[in-house]
Amino acid sequence: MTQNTTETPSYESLVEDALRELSAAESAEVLVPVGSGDEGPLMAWFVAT
Amino acid sequence: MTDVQSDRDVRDGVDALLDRYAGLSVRDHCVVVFSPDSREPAAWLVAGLKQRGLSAQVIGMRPLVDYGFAARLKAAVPDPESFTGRLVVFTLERDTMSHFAQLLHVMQQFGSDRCMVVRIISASREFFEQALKLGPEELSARNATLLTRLTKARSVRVRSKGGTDLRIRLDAGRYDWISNRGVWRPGGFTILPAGEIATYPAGIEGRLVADGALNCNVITRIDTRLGARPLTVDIADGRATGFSGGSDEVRELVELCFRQPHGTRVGELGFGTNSGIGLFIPANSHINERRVGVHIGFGQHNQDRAVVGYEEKVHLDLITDGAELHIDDDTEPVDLADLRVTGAEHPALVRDEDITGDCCGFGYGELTDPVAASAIG
Repeated sequence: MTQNTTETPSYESLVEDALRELSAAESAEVLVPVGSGDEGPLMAWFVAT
Repeated sequence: MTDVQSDRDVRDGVDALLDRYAGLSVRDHCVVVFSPDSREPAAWLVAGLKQRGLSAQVIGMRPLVDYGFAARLKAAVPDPESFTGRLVVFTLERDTMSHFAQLLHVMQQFGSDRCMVVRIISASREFFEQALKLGPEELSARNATLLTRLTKARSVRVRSKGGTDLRIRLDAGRYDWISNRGVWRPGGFTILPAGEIATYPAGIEGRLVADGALNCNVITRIDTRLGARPLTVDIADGRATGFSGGSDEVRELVELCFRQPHGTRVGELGFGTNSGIGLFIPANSHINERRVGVHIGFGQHNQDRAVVGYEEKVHLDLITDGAELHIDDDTEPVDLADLRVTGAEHPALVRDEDITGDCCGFGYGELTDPVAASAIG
């Protein structure tokens, strides 16, 4: 008889997994660098910054 | 500090964010929105969620302008009837706070009483290591202690070991006080890092010696710390009349800010209340503003347009390393670094910090010298 054991993944391995997942969520559109003078907002209103 | 200790501090910060600030339960549905500059901090957060057995949908976003973002966000939000908990959206960005309208739309569609949006600016290792050591209850108590006195005061004299000596008139009847404390409320965004109170000074004069850091709503990679080369700014009748000190690159930035149409006007009197933040960091960051000290914001102000009529895009905060407040000339000062919390309730009439638009992505190239620009035009 074999016994199944499940190891709890370490936080570090979860971070590695998450980095891969996040990278996969970055489309080419998302990765276009924000340039100086980009279409940025006119500061709108960020209270108490 | 060793890397091992540093990683431990990051994990402690993740725990604080998920438990103390967001108060997550297994019934909640989480969405993590991140810009590419915040990929690693977002990974620390997602790993913390997975460790708790919570799944999260992740959405990449381009800061400032991302025409596909609204559709990606909509696709990640589940039917409110399909689960019993809250929708908790975390957004992480380094320099900006983008896509306000799209996030507000989701909150309104989902139901603001079941939706928490946590907006993180200055997402970084330092954010998790330093800015979350105090929880919202502690920050709320610290802010309440100060606000209880300051909202009733007519004046405050602010002094610092570095040489700051400012005489300030206060008028809480006319100018709102704002409190950033990391506390969630229905319909509002939770802005992090937290730990600040601020208002608009009815009058201010004296000398500011900024020996902490600067924080400006432009994207810049300069070292913003001022400890080695403090900036001294003389203020009269609510305006900067001159400045000295600072490194070459700091002086260049300050000169550009002060040359804006209303760049020398004092638009904000702010006090950092987050005593968990130990060190100023090199980045152009809100973390530095939340550290205990006074900051004077030049340019853009923090009041309703009907109350303070001028408009300015640029906002430059100059921050001191600690400060003492003589409230109504009380001889016994309040030391921000050694604040004795009174247990007073947080005043209800004080505005919670919020945003009503996108923030802080002003390209450095847009910060032009208006005199030179008009000469060209």
